[in-house]
Amino acid sequence: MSSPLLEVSGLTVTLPAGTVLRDVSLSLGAGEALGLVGESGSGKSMTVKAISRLLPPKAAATGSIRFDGTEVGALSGPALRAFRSGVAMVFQDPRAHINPVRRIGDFMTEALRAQGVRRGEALARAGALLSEVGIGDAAARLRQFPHELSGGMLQRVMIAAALLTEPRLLLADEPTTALDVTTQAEVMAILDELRRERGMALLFITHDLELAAAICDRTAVMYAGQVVEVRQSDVLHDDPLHPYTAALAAARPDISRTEPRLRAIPGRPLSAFEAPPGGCAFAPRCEFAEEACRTAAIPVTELDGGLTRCVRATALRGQLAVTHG
Amino acid sequence: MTASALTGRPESRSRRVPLAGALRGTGVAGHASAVIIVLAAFVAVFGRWLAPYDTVDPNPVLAFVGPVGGHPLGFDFEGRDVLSRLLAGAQTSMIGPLAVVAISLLIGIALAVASAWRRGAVDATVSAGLGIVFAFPGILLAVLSTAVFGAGLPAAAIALAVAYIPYVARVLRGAALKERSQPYVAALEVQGVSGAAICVKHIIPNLSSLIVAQATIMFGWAMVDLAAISFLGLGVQAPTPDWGVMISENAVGIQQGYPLPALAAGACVIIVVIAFNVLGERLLERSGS
Amino acid sequence: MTRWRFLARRLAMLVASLLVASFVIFSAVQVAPGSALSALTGGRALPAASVAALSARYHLNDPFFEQYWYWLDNVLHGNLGTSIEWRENVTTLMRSLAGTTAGLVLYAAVIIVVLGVGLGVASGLRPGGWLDSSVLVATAVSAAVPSFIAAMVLIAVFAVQLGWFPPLGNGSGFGDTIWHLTLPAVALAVSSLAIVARVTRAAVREEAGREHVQTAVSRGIPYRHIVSRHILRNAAIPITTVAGITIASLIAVDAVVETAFSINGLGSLLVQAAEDKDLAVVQGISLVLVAAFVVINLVVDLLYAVLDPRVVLGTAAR
Repeated sequence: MSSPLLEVSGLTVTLPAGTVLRDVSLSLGAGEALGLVGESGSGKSMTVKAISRLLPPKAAATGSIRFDGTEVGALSGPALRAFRSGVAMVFQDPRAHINPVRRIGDFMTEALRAQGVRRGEALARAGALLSEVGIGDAAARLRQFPHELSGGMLQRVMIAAALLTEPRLLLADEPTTALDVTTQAEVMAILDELRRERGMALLFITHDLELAAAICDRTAVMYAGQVVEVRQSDVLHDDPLHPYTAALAAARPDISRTEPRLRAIPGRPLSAFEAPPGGCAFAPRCEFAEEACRTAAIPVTELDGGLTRCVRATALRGQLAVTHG
Repeated sequence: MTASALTGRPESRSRRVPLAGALRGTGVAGHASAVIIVLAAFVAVFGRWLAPYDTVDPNPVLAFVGPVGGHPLGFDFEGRDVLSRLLAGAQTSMIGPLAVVAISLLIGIALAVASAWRRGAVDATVSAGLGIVFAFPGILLAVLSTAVFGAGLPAAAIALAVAYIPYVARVLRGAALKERSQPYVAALEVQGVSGAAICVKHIIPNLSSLIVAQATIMFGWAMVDLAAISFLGLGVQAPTPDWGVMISENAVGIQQGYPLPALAAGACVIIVVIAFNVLGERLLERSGS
Repeated sequence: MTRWRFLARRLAMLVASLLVASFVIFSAVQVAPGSALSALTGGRALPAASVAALSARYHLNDPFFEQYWYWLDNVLHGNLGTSIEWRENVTTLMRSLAGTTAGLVLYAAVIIVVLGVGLGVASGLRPGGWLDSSVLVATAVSAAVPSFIAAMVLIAVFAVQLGWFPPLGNGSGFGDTIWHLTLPAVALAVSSLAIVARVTRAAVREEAGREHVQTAVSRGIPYRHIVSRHILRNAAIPITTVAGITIASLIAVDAVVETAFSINGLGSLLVQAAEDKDLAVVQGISLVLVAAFVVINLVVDLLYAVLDPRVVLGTAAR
């Protein structure tokens, strides 16, 4: 098997306030889609920022991030710019992430023009991509300002702009969270289709387990700054390896069933710097926790083609399956 | 929906000025400024009696003599003790701005709240009107009015107040509009409380922290403007000891190498104005606007 | 709303402002204590022929609004009346002084924009640095220093003590005038410069922290482009507004500075005329100054609309 396109190993990030990422490891092959799921404070956004070298100035990162074999942290100058055009990012709130006083065409072609592409050609390419994402009358749109477009259209513009430099990896940080459900479905469909067409790798951040499963081959689950499970998406929901994943899956209300009471996970999600230094961060809220869970550092166990950070994983096989009965 | 809304008693947001801990959250700078202001106010009231020496009779022999024992700031252009003149001068220097702020606030609040309450045509007219009247800078209006009504503090202060009204009204109108759209106002209306009562008993008190902050800032501006007008000879008239007047009458000393009287008066103005600016800005931050 | 409707609306407001201002200035004569005639003569005793001439010229026997109309008509034809004190045409008097005042205000405006914006940008792009801290301290103090006090300090230090600049007067010839007007321009600019520097610094810092700047960084846009096309371009909106407003306010404060430095300009003539109750001069100069003030405010509004497309075109999402 060829080396992965993106390989994160042992990534630990600390801010003055505390540790935000603890020994995070991921890998992503070319053309593959990986979902990164977690609640607020789990560290998923911070992981993406670390990968794209957008960490805040006071952050200290250790560990390794390799893109196409090259260590990302060591890049600078033209190599860094080349990296940035090979790895594109789509952000959560398009209205905040697009300059409101510049036209759409200006926004879209900026990266290309910085590479030396002529303005006319850049605009032509931008127009073509707008059509691909389902925005008609591209020429008129390119002349408009962001406030003249709706949130859903702006997000499509952002996606189109990200694809202009023909990236091999797309990092999508909760791209549909700020949109309403119908628009969400449309944008997801566009993302999925474009990814397959271009053979592009996708790292898709979301707090919604099912959304990740919809377009990603594999899903990674984060809790309190650590990756607690990585598994094939189609089996993750019904056959999770980690109690947290099981609890997440069970907590989501299913429209086709009636339940007497919503299942919530007791307690509240911890952010990385609230996590205890030793033992599993989820232990206080876990119904299967034992003494061993609270003391030692928890290593990653490989099981059934997936990875999990749970010492009781083997013992709990079969008990974590979400039963509907 | 809050519990009180369900029980029918409207809960108005508490942005009233707290009496106890009125300076809470203003920081060291805010507290220091408040101390300076209180001191200045004290001197404004009692200055004339605190002054150790006579402040009126000229004594040409002593003109511009430098600091000697008992006269830490020396003598002014007419041989009078500078420190005494400064202490006595605090009164007109502070009363003028007080009047300006009071008048412009009174009228400005009325316009702002009435316009925010009625909305629609009334609001549009008032806003347009204010936009048009904004054309007059304060000092210009004061000069014009002293040309018509004669030089003196009252004419200048009233003119300045009129010039400040559009600014006050504009700032407060925005805040009043926001307040007016709060749910508790609708609750009160539904209960049959009259518009005037709602404005006076609820909206205005809830704007009080913003009003106090703006008043403090404007006091500083008014002080600068009035001192400038007195400096021009169009406001307070000599021989009244007023800081602006003192700067102008002792200006000739600067060129002769005796800068102390004029600069001492200038320093008084600056210190008090800075105090008002700093406190006003802190209060504004705290009021959350 | 299209750009043209916006422009038309603003121009209409400009005309309305000028009309209202001219009306207020005109009414000054009427509301003065005593009769309009005594106001115009400033309480002086004049020969009967002069009095008759005044009455005729100001149409003092006609109804109020007709008087206003005649006066306005005269003004628009450049006829601002005669100075009681100087026995000269007001327009002639003003014309010779207008250049000095305009030059002084322009000089101060240049200082404010170049130094104020320059310092603000430099410290805003490097927050926490030594430049940033010094700018913060210096502006905190100087923002509160009124121009006439700054004038006194500048004269005391740079004119009397160090002798680098003349303490008063206009100067003759271009270079000499600039030398004479330097201290006054600085006095005029000091507090405005501090305000502009602070607002610029705050605006630059705020824009630098915005998410769309992050987007540009994530796409590998070179730093200098990020600064010019995203940070400064966006910060230009509040900066232009504040710079415009402070420059407009210079018009009124200019009178004080001219008096402090004994400069012959429109401002000092205005103050002199107010003391002399020479109403024709006061009215004439007030009109010009108010007109300048209103026009500058209009230019600021228009610049704002050009810089921020959300203003004119509205925020309708399609």
